[in-house]
Amino acid sequence: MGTTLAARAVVLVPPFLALVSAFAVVTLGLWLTGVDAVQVFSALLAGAGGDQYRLSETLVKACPLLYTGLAVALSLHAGVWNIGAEGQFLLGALATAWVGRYLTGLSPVLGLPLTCSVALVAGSAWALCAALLKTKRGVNEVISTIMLNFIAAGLVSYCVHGPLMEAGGQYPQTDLLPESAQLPRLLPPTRLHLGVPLALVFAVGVWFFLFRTKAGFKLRATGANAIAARFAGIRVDHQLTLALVLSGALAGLAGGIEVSGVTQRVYEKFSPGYGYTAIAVALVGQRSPLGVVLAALFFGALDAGSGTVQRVAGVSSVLVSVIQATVVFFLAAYSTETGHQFWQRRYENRKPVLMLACCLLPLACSALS
Amino acid sequence: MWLHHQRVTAPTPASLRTAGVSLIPQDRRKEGLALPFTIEENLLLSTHLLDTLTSGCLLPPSAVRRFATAQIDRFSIRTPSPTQPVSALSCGNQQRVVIARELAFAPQLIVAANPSRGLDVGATRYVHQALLECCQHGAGVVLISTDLEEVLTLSHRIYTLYQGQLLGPIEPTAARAQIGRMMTGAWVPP
Repeated sequence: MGTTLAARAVVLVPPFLALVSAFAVVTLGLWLTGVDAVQVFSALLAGAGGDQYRLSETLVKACPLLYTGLAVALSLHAGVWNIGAEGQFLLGALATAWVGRYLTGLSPVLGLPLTCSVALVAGSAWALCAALLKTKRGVNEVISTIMLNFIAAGLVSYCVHGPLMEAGGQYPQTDLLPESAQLPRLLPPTRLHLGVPLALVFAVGVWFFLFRTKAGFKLRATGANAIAARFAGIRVDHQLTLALVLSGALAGLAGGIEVSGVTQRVYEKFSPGYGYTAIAVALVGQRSPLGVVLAALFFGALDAGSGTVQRVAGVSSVLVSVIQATVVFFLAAYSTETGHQFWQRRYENRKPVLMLACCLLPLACSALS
Repeated sequence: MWLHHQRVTAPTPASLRTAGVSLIPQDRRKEGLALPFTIEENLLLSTHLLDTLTSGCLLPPSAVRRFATAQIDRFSIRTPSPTQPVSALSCGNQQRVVIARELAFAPQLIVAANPSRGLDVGATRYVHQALLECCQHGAGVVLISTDLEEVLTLSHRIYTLYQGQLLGPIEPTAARAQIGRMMTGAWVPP
């Protein structure tokens, strides 16, 4: 059991190192430009979790990243790169806004499941396009899903200027959703909505599907070795389709929940790139649902804290994007196959040193701040 | 194709596995094992096994563990734990994992392609014994091998392939020169 725990812990090494390195590099950059790094990071921390409201904002920002991150992670388990979470997210949002128009006066008990399932279907249908292209025509899913993102963005733009434009005709945006399609707010002054705890349910669901069902096993087998999976009797093309469709469903649901929980309407540039950040979230979370939850919270906290950084420390909120990008950059460097073996060997040799470092690092951090 | 008085039409990998056909592929690291998977996951890498192990769509870890431990004992796979990644095993033990999976539930037909490729003497002997045991239990074994010694020690009937043409059968007791001429297409058995 001890060896397996150690083997599992090794998975955590690349993201952990990536975080540490990213913050080190960002600190260096801030220092070179003559900014007080401690002030910036304490502003970031205060902005992300200073009080109840800010904490809730972190959760609200993490919510779409959690769904889309789970979507990307799930497809990665089948060895499929779903770069199209952005497009599926937009389609889910658009479908929710469209259905919402017809739900005035309905009970939310009926309205909410309806909007959620429409968002789910819209997202998975969008992903199904890429799945069919891949299994029938051999089109690489990375290309097709990226292209579908642009089509989805164009579709949103067309709809908010045309058929779904608000009744007043003032701005390029849809009407506010009727109450029956709005997710209930949990702690009224804050924007915390029902979609946030629901995301955790979905995280558990994805974990259960992947690691406790036969269908999940077949999906993971396809990702682990498609040739061996075919020899084992697994229909690889079915698994690829299933992975993309489930992934699209989660991303579409993310869009639907973002509309009915936060924005209440769809407008142009509706998503600040949630579907793209989701790829980073899935990678930092090492594809594991629990990891995705933690990574989504981290990225959500960065998003929520960015405003405070600008206000208090006078550093552009773009800094947050720099941090995100640096984390992903270092993660890519640390999590290659050779890198993984390197750390595994290191871990075996230097177990006590590493453990000591893990214990001391938080202490050192708290002592410094 | 006929298998134990049952006609198998339009075979797919899944239907063949259900019909009782097992495959020990030529390249275990590419075709036989999913290297990122653990040993117990690799021991289950067959749709037939998944269906035999439990009915329904769930895969309870306790059942998986019980099956894996039994197989590890039966085929004496040397590992500290069934949750080790299969990539951490030696070649011989990796092949034992493939064999443990393919011979798990008394297959009727085993197709083995170069089953002892890259193995040391002990592991090779083990593979041979496992195949012979299956034979004694009534299974048919199709051994496809480039190792003439292996073919001669294990087979009851030998066929050779020359330019897409199946030649044979011939007894393993036949003169080697004759088998050699068959292999090069110089002699066609009557």
